[in-house]
Amino acid sequence: MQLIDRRLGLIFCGFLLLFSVALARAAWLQGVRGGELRADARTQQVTTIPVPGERGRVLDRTGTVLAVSEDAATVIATPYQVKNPKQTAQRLAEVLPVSRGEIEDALSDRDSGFAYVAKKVSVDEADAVDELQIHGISTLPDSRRIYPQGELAAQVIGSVNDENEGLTGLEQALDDTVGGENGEQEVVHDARGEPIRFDTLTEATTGEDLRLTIDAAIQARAEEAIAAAGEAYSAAGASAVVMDPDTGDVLAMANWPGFDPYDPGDASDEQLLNRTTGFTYEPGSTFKAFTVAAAMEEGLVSPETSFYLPPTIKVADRVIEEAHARPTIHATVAEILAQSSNVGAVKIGTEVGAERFDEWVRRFGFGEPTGVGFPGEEQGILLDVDDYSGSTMGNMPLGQGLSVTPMQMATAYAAIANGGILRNPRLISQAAGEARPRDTEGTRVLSPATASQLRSMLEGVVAAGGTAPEVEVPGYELAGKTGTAEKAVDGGYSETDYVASFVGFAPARDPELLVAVIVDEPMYEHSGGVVAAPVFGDIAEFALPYLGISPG
Amino acid sequence: MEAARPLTLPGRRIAVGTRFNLAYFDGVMMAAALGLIAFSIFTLAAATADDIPGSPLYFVLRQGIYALIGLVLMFAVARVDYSRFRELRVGIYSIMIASICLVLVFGAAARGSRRWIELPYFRFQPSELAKLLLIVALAAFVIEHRRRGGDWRSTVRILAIGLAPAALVFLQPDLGTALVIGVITLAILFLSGVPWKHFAAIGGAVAAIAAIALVLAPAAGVPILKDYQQERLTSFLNPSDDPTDSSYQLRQSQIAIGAGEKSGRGDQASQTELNFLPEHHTDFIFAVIGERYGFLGAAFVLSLYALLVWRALRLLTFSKNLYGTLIAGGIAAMLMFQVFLNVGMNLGIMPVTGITLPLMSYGGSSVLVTLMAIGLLQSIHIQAQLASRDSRAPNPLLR
Repeated sequence: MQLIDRRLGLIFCGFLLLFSVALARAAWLQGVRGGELRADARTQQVTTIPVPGERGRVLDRTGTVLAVSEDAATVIATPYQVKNPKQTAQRLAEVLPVSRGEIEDALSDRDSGFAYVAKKVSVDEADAVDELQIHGISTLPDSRRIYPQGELAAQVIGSVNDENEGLTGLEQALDDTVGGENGEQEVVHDARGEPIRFDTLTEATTGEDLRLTIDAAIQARAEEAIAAAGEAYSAAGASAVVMDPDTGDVLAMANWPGFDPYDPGDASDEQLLNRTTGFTYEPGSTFKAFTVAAAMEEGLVSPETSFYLPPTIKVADRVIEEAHARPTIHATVAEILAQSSNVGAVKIGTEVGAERFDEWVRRFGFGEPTGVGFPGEEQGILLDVDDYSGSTMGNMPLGQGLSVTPMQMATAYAAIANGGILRNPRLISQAAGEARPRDTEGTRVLSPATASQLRSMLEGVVAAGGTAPEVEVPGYELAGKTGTAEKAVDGGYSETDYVASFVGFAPARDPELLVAVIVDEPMYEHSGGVVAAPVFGDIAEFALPYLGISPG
Repeated sequence: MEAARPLTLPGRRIAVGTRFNLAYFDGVMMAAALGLIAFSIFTLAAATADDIPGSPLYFVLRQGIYALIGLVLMFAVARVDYSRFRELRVGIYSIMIASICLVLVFGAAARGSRRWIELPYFRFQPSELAKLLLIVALAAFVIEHRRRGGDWRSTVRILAIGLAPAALVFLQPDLGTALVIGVITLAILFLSGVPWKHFAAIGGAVAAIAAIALVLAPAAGVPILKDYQQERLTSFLNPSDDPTDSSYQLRQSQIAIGAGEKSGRGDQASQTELNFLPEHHTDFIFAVIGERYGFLGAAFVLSLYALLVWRALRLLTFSKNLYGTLIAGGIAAMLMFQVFLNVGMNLGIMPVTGITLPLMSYGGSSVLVTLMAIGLLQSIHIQAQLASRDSRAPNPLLR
């Protein structure tokens, strides 16, 4: 048995060796490499995905939904698990709004463990995908933004990106309020890639509602009207502000050209721009109302004050001409406004003087953002009085040498319309359940008497002998001012590019509706009376009865 | 203990009862075996609860029944004097060969191989039983040849007897079991005192065959191993080759075991739960243990096997005759090799061969045969004790 013992000893040694090797290997895997392998296990089993926080709604003043979020789904793939990409793409394309080719592209990386097949499809479409039960294809809950009014007020409301983050407009500016906080979810899936469990790490939150002063119906009408004008005159752009002059509430901020809020990536900067606050222009003749207002408040003129008006007037090195050459005349202040006399405006401005004129311009809010509450509002360009050149007072009284936004112009005109009080306009009436009050107090900038006299004079603009005699809304007395401004180019003024504008209100004696219309670079015609004033008429014709405003 | 009751065997009448006594059982070996079975059922209960919807105890109940039947068989085998099997060697060997041939002809196919015979309520795997039958028969043949000394002819003959069933099993194809049978044959040859130079020759032949099968034949366009076998045998050497195919199981198994770290993840054992670990109730149950119970669990199971194999090896010196020594050696080698092959596969240091982990893996054939093997070991133990008691010599096995 000696031999057996010896060989048994060898076998026993072999046994101990194998046992030790196994134990050592287990210790290596579980002790030394344990953490790393546990992490590997987690990596292949658990995917962390965001749960989109649903965004709050955007409503107009009547409660019409302008933007809302709805449940959606995103279709994802584990490409290496998809057996037959061609056939799979075919089957998916039948139920999804994505082309077969795009799906094939998504599935083309055969080694990939993740790919998007279709983002933000409807819940019904996602259900259809789930019913196909294709191995390697699954759906994740998502949320998508819906704009029930389509392109309406797209530049104002804005748009969101795929992650439901605000990209433009109020969606972006008030993202903190409207946007929901994304939550995080862990998807635990089995070896086949089928999701087994969803663990919520952090809950998604729903964003707060936003209520605007915009009225969807008036907005729609305003957009139609400026689009018609923009197209008719092949303009570079157009915008309109509709305001309640008594309260400063903005009823419409219309911009043309528009864009598809579902596809903001396709839109140009021009299309994305909310021109009512982001476009600056030299106002031209619409500004003369403030020149006259300043002179009246300073007690220098009354509507009946008569001026001697030569065909041209020289201020420093500059010769001011009228739009249409005329002989020497005598004209009252009211006539100067109605016929939009440049020479007259310069004469009135000269009476006021640079220092006081500058004060008055600033009093009407020019050179400062209106505070309407839209992001990135421009403040325009207003020279410091110390920087006035010799010819400045030959320029500014007739609306040249400064730039303004449509919103500034509407806001300042509202002070004339409402009896002399300048108010910060308001676009958002309620955010996150909290009311954003109107500027009820405002700042008195004109006496009621002056304001009333100005309104009467502005009626003359749309009357016979005015610059916009053909604008009318049956049953209502209108008032307003035309503007036809040559665009400033490299130190001079363009002969071909104009900004045609009109600011008007109704009823003339007790205005309850104010509209500012600005058409940028109209072709064929360029006068405010022809290009912009009819747009005002078009909007007012709808809005006045719509708002229940009696002809007064 | 048990009341004396005569057992009648054909031809002669012996009083087994007085000789068959639980006190002569190897209690340590029993404890190790029962511990493994209990741990198997415990692990299956936790790991397979979701495998068959509606029947959380599907595998537990069946494994429990197999274990019970196995234990009955173990006792039955244990009370028989193993020495009697020597006379039956030709019959046993014939039955073994016949059963493997049967499966080649009538076997149920699964994944390209025929390994099972469908029986009512049971799927029997003859190659499992063949291992045990071969040990019993081969040990007897060795003793017969041993009288003629350790010449080349008898070595070759024993080798042929042992490798014939290995070849048949390999044809099923069941590479793992064929390897186990080969190792059993070599172990019995080794213990029977075959000269070292014979082993050197055998070793040389094995190396040559391996080289031909794995390298030369495929290169010459004559595949001996099936593609998947070749892949399995080589993939563990470079597991990162292709994460989605042959090394996938090895990779997942290592992740599972590693993720268990020191004390295990318990019900957080996601590799098993999420089916990343394939065959988690059979071939890869060690990985389940590694993940659920950590290094502690893995070391515990390995210790139970160490205990079992130690008690088997211990019998080699104390057996009352060489036949018992060779049987115990064959069984010890079988257990040792299977455990190492399976655990090594789970740990990623051995190829995937489809060898079960004795007593731990779910499966009737494996559990039954392993318990019968332990019954044989118990028989050797009992007979050794009885012999020493009869000879009035101090019993070396009694502590």
